[in-house]
Amino acid sequence: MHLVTLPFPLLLPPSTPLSPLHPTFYSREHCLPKLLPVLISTRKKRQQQQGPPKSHLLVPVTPSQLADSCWLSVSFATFYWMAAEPFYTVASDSETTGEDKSQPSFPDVAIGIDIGTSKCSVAVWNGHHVELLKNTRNQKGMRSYVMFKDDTLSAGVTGGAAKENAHEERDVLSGSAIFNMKRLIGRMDTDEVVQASKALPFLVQTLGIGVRPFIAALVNNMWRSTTPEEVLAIFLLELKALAEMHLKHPVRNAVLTIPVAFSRFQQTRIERACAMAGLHVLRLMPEPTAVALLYAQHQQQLMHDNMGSGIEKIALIFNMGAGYCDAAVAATAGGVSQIRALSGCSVGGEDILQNIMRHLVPNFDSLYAGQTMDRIKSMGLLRIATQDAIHKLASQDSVEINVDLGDGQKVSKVLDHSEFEQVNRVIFEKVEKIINQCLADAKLVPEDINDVILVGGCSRIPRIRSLVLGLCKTEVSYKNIDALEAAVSGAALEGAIASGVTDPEGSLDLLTIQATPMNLGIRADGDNFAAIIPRNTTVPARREMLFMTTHDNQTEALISVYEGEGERAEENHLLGYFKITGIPPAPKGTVEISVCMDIDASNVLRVFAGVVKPQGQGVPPFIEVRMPTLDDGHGWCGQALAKMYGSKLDLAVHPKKLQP
Amino acid sequence: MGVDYYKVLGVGRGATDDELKKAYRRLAMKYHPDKNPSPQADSLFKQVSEAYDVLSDPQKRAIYDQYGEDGLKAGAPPPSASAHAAGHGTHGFRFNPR
Repeated sequence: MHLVTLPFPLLLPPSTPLSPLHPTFYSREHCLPKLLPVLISTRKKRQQQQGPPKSHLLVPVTPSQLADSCWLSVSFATFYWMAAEPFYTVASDSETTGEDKSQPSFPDVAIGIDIGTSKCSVAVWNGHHVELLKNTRNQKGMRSYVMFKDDTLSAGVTGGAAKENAHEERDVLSGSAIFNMKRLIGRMDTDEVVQASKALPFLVQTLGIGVRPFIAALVNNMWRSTTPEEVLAIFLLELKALAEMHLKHPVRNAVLTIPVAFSRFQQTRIERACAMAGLHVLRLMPEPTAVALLYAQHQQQLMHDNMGSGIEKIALIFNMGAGYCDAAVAATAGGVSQIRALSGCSVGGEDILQNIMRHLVPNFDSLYAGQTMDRIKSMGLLRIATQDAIHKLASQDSVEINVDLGDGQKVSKVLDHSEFEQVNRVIFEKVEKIINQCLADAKLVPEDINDVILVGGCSRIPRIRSLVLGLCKTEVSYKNIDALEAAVSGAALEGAIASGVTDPEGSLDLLTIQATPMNLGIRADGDNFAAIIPRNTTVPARREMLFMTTHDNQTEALISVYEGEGERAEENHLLGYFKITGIPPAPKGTVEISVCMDIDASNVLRVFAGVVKPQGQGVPPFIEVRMPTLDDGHGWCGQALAKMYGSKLDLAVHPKKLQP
Repeated sequence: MGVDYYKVLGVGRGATDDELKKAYRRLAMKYHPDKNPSPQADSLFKQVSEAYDVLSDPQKRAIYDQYGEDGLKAGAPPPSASAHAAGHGTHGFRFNPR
């Protein structure tokens, strides 16, 4: 176990150059190389003198994460080393000492965080119930953005309220703020979601070659580059500070909700952003499963109050926010909520907003091609007017839009429901697909559903409500859940449960049994995808599958690990690859190779592979690889491997004869 | 012939769907890593889940009842003839944590 110890508190004034909220703070080059040797040697010296530090945060990270994240954590520590008592350690396997076992004096309950595309919230189990934390502006849902200004950064948690003037929506849309991080994180520039993000006021530059996009915020009429991970880390740092201010003790563990559609690669980017902010991810929960946990608690409560029957209840949870939409079917009884099926896609309110903007301004793309100051301002006005209209349409039959976009461009239009629905037809079709797939995967028919739970901002849109309820053949949705607070409340519940907190009144006698949302497997039988852990398998899980060689005297085999729903390997997301070497020469088909995939409680995926037949001293040892190993250029790697090796290193699925 | 899934769940061979569900929920509360910090819990839970996954699916349960665990190994299309037949279940190396 590698441990990076962080100082507390991290609440530094944003204006100091050494504050985590200061832009120069994130300059990687200038932090790590110079300081790491100093830190380690000082640490040893201090340990000898004083023993273990009294107050610190231990953030367990894996060796691969360490390489990327420690520069930031170390630089936190550096500030303290220079400013005050040196509260830090950088420990590795070789020098781990007893101090790592020292227990912090604060109750170590993981906080729950819902990082939304549009809004974020944070909640915590306070010993009796889940409490949502409010910022200084008395908001529970805080706008997700980071504002870049001269030499300061400020995130939407405080909303700039600490300074003279609070940010308003038009400031957020001025090009100086980065938002929609959740849509951009871990995506390549060929991704259609990244392409759609070019309609945002900040700079999203793509080359369309399968590498990460270049993003930048406008500072003093100049684009300053950043990354989605960095922006998210800055935001999380403010969120963490908010939680620490409320709880009056350091926070190190968190449960975060993520969209069902997030790939494993995207999950690692979230973990990395958390590590940069000094947070250890205890669990990443698909959003609807966090809601399922809250539902299980409700059902349990009804039981205690002798109002429930205790029989199994099936809930369909539909969540649609600004960036993503997902569905889950959960079977709940006795406080146990078992996720039977998950489905999701990257469609959300942002797409609806962009559809309407393009509908209002048919020459949108040519009008706003190339971001000049005028165009950014004009686009901001259009965005605000459109957003406002969509919100009003949730409770009105029609809405009048009147906005002067400047430069002689005016929009004056009455938008009604039928027009709104026509413009967003494709989105509603995708929603329908998600629900139907979820029901089919759970092997259920609409009549089996006891409760339909609608959450997320877009669940307020009348057409979405009627569509989902109609597909589930019911009239009304489940009432006792707040559409915007459910996911974060569930995350906070999971945080308490996974931290080992028990409640004497039994309100934490709950469990969510998760399922994996996507097939995991390897390339086999030519370009086909052999799923070893099929989607909707209960996790933690371990599955094994046998393969065989495809050439005579084949001594090497390539294991390419993919995630996704496509039948062909290349339609899926490449997570990593490795070779099995030293296979004993034998006729094709006679060598058996086992590939085993394991997902543990923390959702870590490990792949084990090796020769199982023939046996003996002549076969190479097994290989264990933690996935994903790829960092970038997923599409390229698959192509390069195919070009280099063709079918030389291929495996085929072992057809087994059954012996009754 | 592999593992007795009925024994893993602690139910009889004639267990009903409801009995399976109850047994699974009870064991999940006992062994799920969220509820049980011991290092063995993870593999015990995986085993219980695997057993439940098979027995709660009528098709898989039928194959299991007829052919045992080997009949279910992923990638095995039910009774298909194949040239390579010999020696399953005799592997020296087993991944399944038991």
